[in-house]
Amino acid sequence: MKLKVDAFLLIGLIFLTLVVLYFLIITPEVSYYQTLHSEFNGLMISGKTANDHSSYSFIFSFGMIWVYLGSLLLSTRHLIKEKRKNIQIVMACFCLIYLYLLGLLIFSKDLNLQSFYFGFPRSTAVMLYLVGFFPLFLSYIYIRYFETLIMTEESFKSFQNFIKSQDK
Amino acid sequence: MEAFRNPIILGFVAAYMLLTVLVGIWALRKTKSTQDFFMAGRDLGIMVTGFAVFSSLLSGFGFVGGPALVYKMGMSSVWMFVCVIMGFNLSFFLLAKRLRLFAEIGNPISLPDVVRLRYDNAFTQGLMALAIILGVLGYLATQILAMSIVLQDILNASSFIEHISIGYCMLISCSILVFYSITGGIVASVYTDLVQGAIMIFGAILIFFSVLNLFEGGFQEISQIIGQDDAGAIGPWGTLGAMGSLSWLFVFMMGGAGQPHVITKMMMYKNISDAKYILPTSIIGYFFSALLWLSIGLAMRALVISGMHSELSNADMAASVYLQYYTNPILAGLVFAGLFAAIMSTADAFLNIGTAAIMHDLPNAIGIKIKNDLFWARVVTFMLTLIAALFARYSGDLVAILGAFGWGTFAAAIVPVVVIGFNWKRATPLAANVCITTSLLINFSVKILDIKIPYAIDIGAISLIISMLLFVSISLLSEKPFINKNVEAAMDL
Repeated sequence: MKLKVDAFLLIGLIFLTLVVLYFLIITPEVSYYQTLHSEFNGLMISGKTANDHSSYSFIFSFGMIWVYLGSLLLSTRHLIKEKRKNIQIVMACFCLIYLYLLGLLIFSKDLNLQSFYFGFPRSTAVMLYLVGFFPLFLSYIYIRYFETLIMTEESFKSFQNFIKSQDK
Repeated sequence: MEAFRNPIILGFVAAYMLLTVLVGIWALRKTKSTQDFFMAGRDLGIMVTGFAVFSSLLSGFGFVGGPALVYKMGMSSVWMFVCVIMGFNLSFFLLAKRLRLFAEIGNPISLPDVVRLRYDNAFTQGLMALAIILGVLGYLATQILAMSIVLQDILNASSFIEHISIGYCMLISCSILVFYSITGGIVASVYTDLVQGAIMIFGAILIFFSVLNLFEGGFQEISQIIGQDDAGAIGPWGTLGAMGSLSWLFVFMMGGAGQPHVITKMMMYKNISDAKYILPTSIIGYFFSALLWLSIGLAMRALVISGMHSELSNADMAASVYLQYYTNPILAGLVFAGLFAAIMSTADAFLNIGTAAIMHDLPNAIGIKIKNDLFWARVVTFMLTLIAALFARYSGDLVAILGAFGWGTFAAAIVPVVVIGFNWKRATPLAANVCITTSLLINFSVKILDIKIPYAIDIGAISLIISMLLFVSISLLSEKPFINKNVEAAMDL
């Protein structure tokens, strides 16, 4: 089945808009919001139920990653069919793994201050080291396959020559 | 050495200011045309462009506002830089090539120029220019406020000044900024970015190690102190909660590709294949520099909670207080100088795009040709600085909040029109006009009316989603647009 990128992006946007509209209508209870620290007025502390809306957060993340993927796929439109399909699969897998990592954080109720990884509680370490650095994979694809996926220096020079010839 | 702490810090800052003046004069001699003033002649190398891209993103927002937010809210704002590689990937996959190709057609000198080229519509150019001017005011105010706060902290700590007000510090900051920007244009900015980037990477790594040694148990002890006070603050969502943090993730992940002062630099590099080296250069630079954002913010929160330091009167002082009291004076001087460099070069980049929007894009959109444009560019630069300084002085917001507002304004107006529209032939000028107008209306209404959004969702995220939806759906419902054949050739590559 041929993937229509613009339709894919549009459906993702409609989904995310509906999710946000739902959030705007359903106002959370007051304890959701962060409040002033009782001792230091300049600091905020978390609301009691701030992290209790796991399914809302995951649905929002799902829509967000859908829109990100839809936008990213637009960069593949100039490629020939086979190459386009391959890179689109890579991009989709990348986004699914990123969503999985966000899901790990969203559904984790662990704020255990007994076990630390590189100086941080486990879920914070996942955020800093896995969510933060996993996207380097896509950067590697960009750098490694630049000539195949993006452009060669020769095509750029011929484009420059084409524009110059138009200007004459 | 401690006895000479303040003279050392002031010495570094003064040396940097002198360097700034010299760079400005050097750049003045290099700037011979409006193309040089706004586009740096389109022959920048890999290192200069790579450093310019990442250091434009950090600036006063990252170095003053970032630690302030971590100090105030814990880990919530860390999502703003945790997603930066996602943002860079989107920018490079979708824009680095496209903008460089468009830059070859008709010698554009600004982003609205390229928007007009793509959509073949003067009104779209005018609206884009307006969005840039409004976003620039928010963001430039951030830079001026950040610079003034740091300067005030340094001067008030010195023995020869009893007390200096924030207003005077703004005056000093703006005077230097105006001189630097008027003389050098974008050439001064990108070359200062190179020096600043190098200082920031070096300084941030040293600061990170200084924080590591501040408490015996390093970051683990800092995490424990913060966590025992409020476990949520050191958890992945900070005090703001999951939805607020995720909305920041969305705005900063998608919006990175919509920051005009950053993506304009993608029109300035020389060879197309340079893009594949510019991406890792920017990522590495950003990663090391962001260590400062995280480490200072957490250290100051832990110091205050544990009673080792008195509470800060303003969260924006977190970075300067840490540097003043907890680092070696030479390191403090170096980082302060780098911080000024970060602020100055980003402010210069904003002034540059704002000036281009006012004296080039708006008149172009309504069919007026301005004579002696280089002179007027310098006059407009001065006026913009003045207005932004007044905005900073009287808005009463934190540096980071002003910065996030500027970021969100740019993201909602620019991501659909530029990131999607430059890669999708079906995009129409009508959709672009509706999208820019709606995004500005939503962002400014919520800011001016001070509307609180449920679940602490960032308004930038909402306006970005709505503007993208309007853009794609209106384009699909409109007639197929006309595209100039050179532009079409660039979009097919």
